[in-house]
Amino acid sequence: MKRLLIILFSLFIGSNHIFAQEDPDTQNITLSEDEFGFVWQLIGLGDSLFYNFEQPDEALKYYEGAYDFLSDNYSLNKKIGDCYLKSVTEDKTLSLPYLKKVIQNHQDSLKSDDYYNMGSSFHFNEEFDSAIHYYELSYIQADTSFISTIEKRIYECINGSKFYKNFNNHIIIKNLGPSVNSKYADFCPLVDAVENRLYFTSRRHEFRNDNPDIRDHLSENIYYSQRKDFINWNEPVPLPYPVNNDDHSATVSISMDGSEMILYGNGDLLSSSMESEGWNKPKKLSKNINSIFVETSACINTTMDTLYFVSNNEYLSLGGLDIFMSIKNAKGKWGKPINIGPEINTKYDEEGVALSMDGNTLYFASRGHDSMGGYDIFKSTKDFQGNWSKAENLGIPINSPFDDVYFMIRTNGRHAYYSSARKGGYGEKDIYRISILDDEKPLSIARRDISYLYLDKDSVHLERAKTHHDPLMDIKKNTLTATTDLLKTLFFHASLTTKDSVNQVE
Amino acid sequence: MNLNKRSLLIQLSCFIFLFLSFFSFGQTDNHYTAPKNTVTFHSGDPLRALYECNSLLKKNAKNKDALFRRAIIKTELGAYHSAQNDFTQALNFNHSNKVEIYYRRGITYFLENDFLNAITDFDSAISIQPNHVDALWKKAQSYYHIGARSLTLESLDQISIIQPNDPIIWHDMGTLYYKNKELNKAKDCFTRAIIIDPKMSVSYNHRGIIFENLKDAAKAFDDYNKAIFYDSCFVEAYNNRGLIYLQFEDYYEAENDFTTALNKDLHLNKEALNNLAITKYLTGRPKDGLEDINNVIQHYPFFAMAYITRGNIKERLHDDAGACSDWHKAAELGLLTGLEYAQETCQ
Repeated sequence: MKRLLIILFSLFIGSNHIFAQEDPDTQNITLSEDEFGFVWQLIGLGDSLFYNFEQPDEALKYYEGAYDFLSDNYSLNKKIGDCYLKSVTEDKTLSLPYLKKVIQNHQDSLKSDDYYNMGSSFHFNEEFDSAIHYYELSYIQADTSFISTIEKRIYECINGSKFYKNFNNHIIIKNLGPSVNSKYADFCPLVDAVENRLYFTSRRHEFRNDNPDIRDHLSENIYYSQRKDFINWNEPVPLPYPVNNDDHSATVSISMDGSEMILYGNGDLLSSSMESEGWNKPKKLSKNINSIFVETSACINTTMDTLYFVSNNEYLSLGGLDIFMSIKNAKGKWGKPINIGPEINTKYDEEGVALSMDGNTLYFASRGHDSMGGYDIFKSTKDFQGNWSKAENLGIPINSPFDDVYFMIRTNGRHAYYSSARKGGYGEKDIYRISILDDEKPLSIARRDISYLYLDKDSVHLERAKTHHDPLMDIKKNTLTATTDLLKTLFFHASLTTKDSVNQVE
Repeated sequence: MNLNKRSLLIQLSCFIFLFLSFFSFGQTDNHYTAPKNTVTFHSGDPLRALYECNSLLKKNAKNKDALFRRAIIKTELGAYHSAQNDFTQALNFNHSNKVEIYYRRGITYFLENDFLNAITDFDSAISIQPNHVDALWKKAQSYYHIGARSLTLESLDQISIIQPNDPIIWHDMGTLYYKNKELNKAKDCFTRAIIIDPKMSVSYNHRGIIFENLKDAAKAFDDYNKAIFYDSCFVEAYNNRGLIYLQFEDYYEAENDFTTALNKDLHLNKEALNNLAITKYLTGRPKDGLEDINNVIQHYPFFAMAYITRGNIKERLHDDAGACSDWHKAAELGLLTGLEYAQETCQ
């Protein structure tokens, strides 16, 4: 309650602050005095939420209200566009019409970030050529500190353009639907070997009973769902305490039989195992794994002696989050972490590490390499000497310009689960199931084979079938014959005199 | 009054007649089939004719004409073995029409599926009368039934020399070459049939299939178009043209052709509906495709390819268990592709 009051007070102060800062741009719209006040109050509240509290989703509601009165306003269109681009639950591509208005109607006052936002909007909408055009315009006016970011975006668009030309029709991706996915982030799906149980992390707050306010709803909790039928999952429920607690709890990895789980909590990796009464209290992994830095993701091979994990360990990282490897020694203790090298790790973040059944293919998400935007899923294979190959982007349709992360491949190598913030979801990241079909599988088309006209027939006599059949011609012939018959009959009747009539009464 | 009634009656009959004649448009059969035998070996009641022959033979057991006539009647009544005895006796009594006796005795063997004896008799008829086209045809058919394709081709070749302007011979020779995987010869035969009868839609359609096998889709497409031009109700040609469209990813036209094939066919055309289902799932409508293929399977439960299609659709709908079950079913029905898919995908 106290927090709510503070927010409302801040909103009020913030709105006054914005009033003082900006002059209304109302040259195109005529507003009454009441409307004018109302509109600017809406914009002021929106500004407070967006700039002071970093709540673009909430700010959008106020901006959209003001937009009904000031649809051509440069500042408002720009703010709405920005809000959509930074939104957690809304589709980022919805920013496009607003930013287009900014570009079209205010060409004289455009800045680097206007072009950059326009480029981002096209980028998210998978219109890579247009995105490159606007990124280049932004590049011309950009600060030197921002140059490298724009260059990275242009490189991502070039990659995107390249991957979209090689669309793989044999990969089918399906959203797990509204029963699993919410408008908040749902990610890091884990399924057991038979795909009956699904554990995932969600930032939803529907199940919280402590009446969280708008800032607190973003805490992560682990949810569990049981498969209903081949296509549907039951309504997910949060795992009870101690797996979920007041802090963030997130899924990381699960054993084949679904009895052991690695979790994330408080910046560390934890393990929990299933007991008769449920998941037991998570325990921290070894100190060699958990450092003073943040460890977010991990996977273990089937022989349980090699652990791959993600950490931002500044002493060992090539930049941001990197993937490390730890090997269990003879005493059963995890060894010191080793950075698995520049073939996989980049100066950008790597996340969501997973291993194939044979332990020779590593799947991970990265913002570096030839990503087409945000995190993309990559794979790398290990040769007999233990060297990892150059990371290979899994391409379209698995990856998108949005974040595609936490890829988990099933043992058969044909199905996988992952989370993606791609277009068409239910909000932020959603969980998807991937089916990888055979490239060689031909279409099961059917046609009647060439058949004999006479050779395979059992008829005794050689009365030939017609060589050509024209139904229309047949009708004409039938009609002609029948008409002739009819005319003959008419003629016959007409030629009958009354005395010839059989009905004649003498 | 009478005249008025009469003219009304005439008008009414005209209307009914026209209505019926147009209604019959949809019911015309577009297949090339040899019509049923309508020729009888005698006039009148066969049993009475048999009685007459028996009476004659009672008086004179060596009456070769009566024996011949009785054999014909017995053939018609289905008593092939007894007919063969009569034909043999007629031959033994030195009947003058040996060619006809050999041919008809050959027919009785043919109808008993005793093709080797049938071929011997047809050969005897042909040796006496080398241009006996009917005997040559039946000989070719006999060879075909025992699987002797090269000998069948030899017989058809002889017929083509005698009757070079019969398009059916060329068509069937083309078909036989196709079955022997001699595609170029098959193509030439169908072309010959088309030269003889330029409106022979069935030959266009079949030559189109040959062109497709020869990887010449443009010519195949051309032939299917001609087949449809000369027979606007040719269901198979629509289906085949739809497949060309499908191959070149013109899904709209493909769907049109499969739908037309379905509409033109009096029965549910399983091939066209299967292909329509494929088109639908390729264009992102797997549930519609599933509905169509379920319809095919409901009407044709032994159509193995439909199970493969349904399995593929179910795989796209993420119903792996359903897909595996369908592929196994296709394998049970003899389509081993199903087994291959199941082994690759199903755990």
